[in-house]
Amino acid sequence: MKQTYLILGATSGMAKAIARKLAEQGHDLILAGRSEGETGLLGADLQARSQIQVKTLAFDAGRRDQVSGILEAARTSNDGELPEGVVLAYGVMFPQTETEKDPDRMVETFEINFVSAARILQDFGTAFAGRGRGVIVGISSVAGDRGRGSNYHYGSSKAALTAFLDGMRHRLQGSGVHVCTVLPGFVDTPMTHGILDPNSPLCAKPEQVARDVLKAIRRRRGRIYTLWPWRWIMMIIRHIPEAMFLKTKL
Amino acid sequence: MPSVTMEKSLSGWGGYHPVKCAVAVPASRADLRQLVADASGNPHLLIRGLGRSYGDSAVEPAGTVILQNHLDRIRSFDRTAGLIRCEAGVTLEDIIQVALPHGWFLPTTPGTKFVTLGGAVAADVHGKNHHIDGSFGGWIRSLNLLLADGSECECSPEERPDLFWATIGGMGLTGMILEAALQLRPCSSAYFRVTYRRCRNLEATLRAIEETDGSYTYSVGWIDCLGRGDRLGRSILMLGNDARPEDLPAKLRSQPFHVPRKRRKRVPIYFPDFALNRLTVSAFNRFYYTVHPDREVVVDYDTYFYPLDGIHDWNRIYGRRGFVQYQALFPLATAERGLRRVLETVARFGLASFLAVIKRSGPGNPSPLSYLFDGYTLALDIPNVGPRMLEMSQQLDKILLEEGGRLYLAKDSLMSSETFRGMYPRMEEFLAVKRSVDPENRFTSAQARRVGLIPS
Repeated sequence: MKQTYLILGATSGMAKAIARKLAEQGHDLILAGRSEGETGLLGADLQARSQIQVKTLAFDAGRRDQVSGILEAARTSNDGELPEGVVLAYGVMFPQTETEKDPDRMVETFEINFVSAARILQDFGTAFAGRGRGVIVGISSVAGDRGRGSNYHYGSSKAALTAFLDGMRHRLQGSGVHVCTVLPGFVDTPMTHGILDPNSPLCAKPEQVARDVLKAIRRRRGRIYTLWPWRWIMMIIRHIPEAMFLKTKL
Repeated sequence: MPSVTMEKSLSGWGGYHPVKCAVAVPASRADLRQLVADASGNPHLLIRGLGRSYGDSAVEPAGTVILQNHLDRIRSFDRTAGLIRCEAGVTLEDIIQVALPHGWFLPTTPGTKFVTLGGAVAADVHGKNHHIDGSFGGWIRSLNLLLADGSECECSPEERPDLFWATIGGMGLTGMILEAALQLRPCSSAYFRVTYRRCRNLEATLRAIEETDGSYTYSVGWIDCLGRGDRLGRSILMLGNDARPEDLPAKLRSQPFHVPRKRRKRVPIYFPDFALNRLTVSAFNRFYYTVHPDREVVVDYDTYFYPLDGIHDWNRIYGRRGFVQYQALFPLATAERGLRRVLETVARFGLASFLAVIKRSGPGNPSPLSYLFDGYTLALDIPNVGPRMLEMSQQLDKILLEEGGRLYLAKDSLMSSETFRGMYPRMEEFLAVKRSVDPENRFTSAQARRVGLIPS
């Protein structure tokens, strides 16, 4: 059935791939992104590919008014109806060498990746529960599974997001709302350039992640790792005894 | 966020001679503009798409290599006129997926669909229908460029034609291609009727091509480079025409644009360097020749145009040493002698080549650096065996120069600037345009410096 999905942070590499997959299945989309030009470009792309309805919203997760107003803005642009689902796909990752020197940047990481996201998820969770139907997909990260010396600023922002999504799924159990925590490992996007080796077998193409996300929506899965080996990799990393973990350089 | 620049080892698809380059991955138009605007941070720039040119066209150790393949949005698709306008990072695979269900196909295509639109324009790629339809650039209706001074401009065969044609086949040296509008070709199915025809030697091959080219839109021959004497130049021609729905087997007829998904294979490791040698390749060639008797079949576009796309990382069969591609073009008048001399040289050196392809080319286009003109072209893979390969390629270059032939920039890794100058007499015309839009030579490449398009 044709439904409308709101995508937050629509121009990120992963969001673009998810948007294209949703469009391929005929869903209409509301794209919310920081750069109007880029959001518009993606909107035209999706319409050229799939002949769906696309609307765009200006959205900057760093602006409080836009964060608290996004639900109403989405409803208005969707002819007064709540969208069927929301995909939260924005986030920032500054190199930790930078955030260690600049604590304001570190705080910005938390504000964007978690604080604004929590507000939005809370709003949509409550509204969807009231309606008795809805899909919430939050893109978190395996970096949140265990704090590591080289990446714990970003990692802790994602750990909080993961816990929030997991908790909300628990709360909304039986309400008809599906909350999905997506835990990607390495993904080859412009955001991760310089940090990851795109040729590594563990580095996913955004299209592979998108495929996994759509499968998770279809099967109403609660938590997914993508690519799947990350589930086992992170299980091992979480279970390394602390004394031994401290000796590693992760 | 501004793009991060990091060091990475890059090579062309042939894997020959990788070099360390500073690589930037812009996430947006704004990032791109910023990279170009920052003339002190990035005095030299090179745009790279999917890295499918074989040599060092998309490698530049002395500048910033910009990976443009994330900027891959379709701007518009006119389903009635078959005109599609896209950002340069859109792949040919993408265009097929979007256009084919509406009855449109690429006007011409190289042997892989894993190339970007920008790359296809910059190399002015060609395909099996060159003798009828010309090269890719002839189907471009307009280009949107970001020039070295940071300005953007639209050009077409009517508007700034000099800049337009210098950019077609211009290897990214005139500026950054942001968008291109491509005229597609109507088709009535995703399938092709293909006739296989075996030819016992070069003479028979050329005769058969002359006889058949008028009646087939697509024509290409696989040629056995290790054949000598009587068998020199023996080949299998693969001649194709569009299949109409009524040509298809009954079960495909109801969905003529649908191609069932195939499993893709992958070459998981680099083969050891000794895996390809005269013995293994000549055994392969004999096998290949035997299993392709003369017959007619109906196959989907993937099978006909992109047999190697089904095997990811196929370049690894040449091992870590890599290989070079050698594509020679001879004018009609000297073609038979030139081809014979090339094949004799290759057979004498015994340097194994699986993928040797012969094709009749049609007239060229107005582009000063475009590759093909009326004649015959022969493309070979040569494994990198070191000095012997260099010696052979020098001998081949000499033959080409003597017979009025030329090499293809998108495949070349080795030619000298003297050779290039001898093969591309309209080089000065190109350089005049380059000087007018990029006087400081900001857009460069390792190849451009090697062949003398940029002073080194």
